Amino acid sequence: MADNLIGNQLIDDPSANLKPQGSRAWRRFRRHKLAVISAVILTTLMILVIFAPLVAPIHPHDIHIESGIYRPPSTDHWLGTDSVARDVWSRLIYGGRISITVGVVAITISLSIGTIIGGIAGYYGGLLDSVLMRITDVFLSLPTIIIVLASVALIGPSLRNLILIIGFLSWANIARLVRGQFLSLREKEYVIAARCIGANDRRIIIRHLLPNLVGPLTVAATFGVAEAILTEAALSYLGLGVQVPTPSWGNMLEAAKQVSILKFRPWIWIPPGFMIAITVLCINIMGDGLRDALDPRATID
Amino acid sequence: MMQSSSGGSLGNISKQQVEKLREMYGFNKPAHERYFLWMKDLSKGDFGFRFRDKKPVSKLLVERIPMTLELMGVSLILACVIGISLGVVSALKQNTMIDYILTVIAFSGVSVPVFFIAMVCIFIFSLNLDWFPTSGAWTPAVPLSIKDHIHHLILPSLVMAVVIMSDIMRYARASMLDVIREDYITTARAKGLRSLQVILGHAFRNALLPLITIIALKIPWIFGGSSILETVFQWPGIGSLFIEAAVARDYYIVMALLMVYGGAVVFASLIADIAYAVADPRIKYK
Repeated sequence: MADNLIGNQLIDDPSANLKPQGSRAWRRFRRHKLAVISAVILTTLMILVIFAPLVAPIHPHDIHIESGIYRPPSTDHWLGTDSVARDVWSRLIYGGRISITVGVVAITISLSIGTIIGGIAGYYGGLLDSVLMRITDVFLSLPTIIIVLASVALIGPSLRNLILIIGFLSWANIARLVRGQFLSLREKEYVIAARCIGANDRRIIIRHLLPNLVGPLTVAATFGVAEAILTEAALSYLGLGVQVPTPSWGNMLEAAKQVSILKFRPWIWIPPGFMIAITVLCINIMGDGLRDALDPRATID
Repeated sequence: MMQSSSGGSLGNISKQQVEKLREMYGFNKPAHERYFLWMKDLSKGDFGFRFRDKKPVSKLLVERIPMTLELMGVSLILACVIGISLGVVSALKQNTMIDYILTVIAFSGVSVPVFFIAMVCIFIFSLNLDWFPTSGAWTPAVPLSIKDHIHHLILPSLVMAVVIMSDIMRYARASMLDVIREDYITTARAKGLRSLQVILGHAFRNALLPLITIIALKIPWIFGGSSILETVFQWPGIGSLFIEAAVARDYYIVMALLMVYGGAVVFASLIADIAYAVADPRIKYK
């Protein structure tokens, strides 16, 4: 019996030696200079956003009549005021909270759905696999933003609906990734060995298959967060996303639909646009670095 | 699905009027029944009408689809030519300064929201330098002229092209890097062919194959991006029409356009299959 257990580990189960692989991945990641810089910028942003009340003491909903509307940047309003005399700097920081939350929560949802659907399809195969994958293809082939727009028009715009809709509509990539990996992994010797010693499906999936997917899923989730932030920004820009007075980077840009603001009051629309650009760019570069670091093919040589 | 949502396009009016209107538009019927009614009308070529001015949707589609195809076509061609060549250059000069700069440009292009790029371009080129008009496809109240139309087309198609190009560039680079390491490239070089001949004749053609599939798969994504861009530039295409309709909950338009998008996606994959066979003589469909 004891021999069997040891034997199980000897048959190249990659999940058995996660630790050394983890530190190797970290070393690889550190070599990707741009990715490290991006990670540092993102961490700074997260700290700014989490400690928003300290960074931006003025409440983002407060209206400062005494300062007037469309005031250019000054010492009491670092980035000036907007169309109803709210502080742009506070809205920028609190807006970041909303935008990043939408990205992270929506991807958590789609990660769960994608892993479950892809896992079932890949592990059990057969008719179930065909049916689930055709459904996935439908979701993959439709323009996401168009379907999201149609759904928002149907259910009505709100922060919660937005998160749910983005989450429920962006799992297809992840499902396909998980299915592909499961299809090849379930034929590996160590899985067959595990089944021989009497492990049930649940144990095989959770203990032997899923740990191998931590790398690819982390990478997919990173790119997914970037995509979700962009979708949120686009929807809020169109007025179908986060609703005022709640600030988000997208709905701050909505103000610049007026040519007069676009031309004469750049402090209102350049900062949120810049923040979206920097955040998404850093997430994408970090995702690229993570892929180089965690790619199982790269660990072979 | 759009049919099951109620209200929205009906504003604040008395209950009796609402009932009358609902009967007129058929909103009082259950969703599945309305869906079949819609399908029945569709089989007769009737797409319904726009709620605001009762304009038939089929007429709107005929007006708007060519505008979107024009904008997408111009930007897609620009993006493919520039994107693929820059991607190839980037791959050939791997790990040099040029490669790094191009990589950062490519990443920025897919990371910065398309409407923000558009806003910055309008701010610089239209509002401050006054080179291009800010929006629309024609100057209003001026007789139609091709020159005026092209003048309106330049800025939106360039912005769209930059976004698509960034994406294509990354794939072109990766694909070219894969091919360059193949044995037959070494063989071609060993035979004494000039390096330009090796790159164009042997490497480029093979690197192009996966790109065709990727570009075709990107069509839905391009449609999505163009709808937002059309809204920013008030370009009278189906993208801006869709967004207007979604905001106003104009179901007939939304449903008709969802069908158009679906058809476009299928058509794009068909084109990709054909292009694949043209580019690779090994592939034959029987």
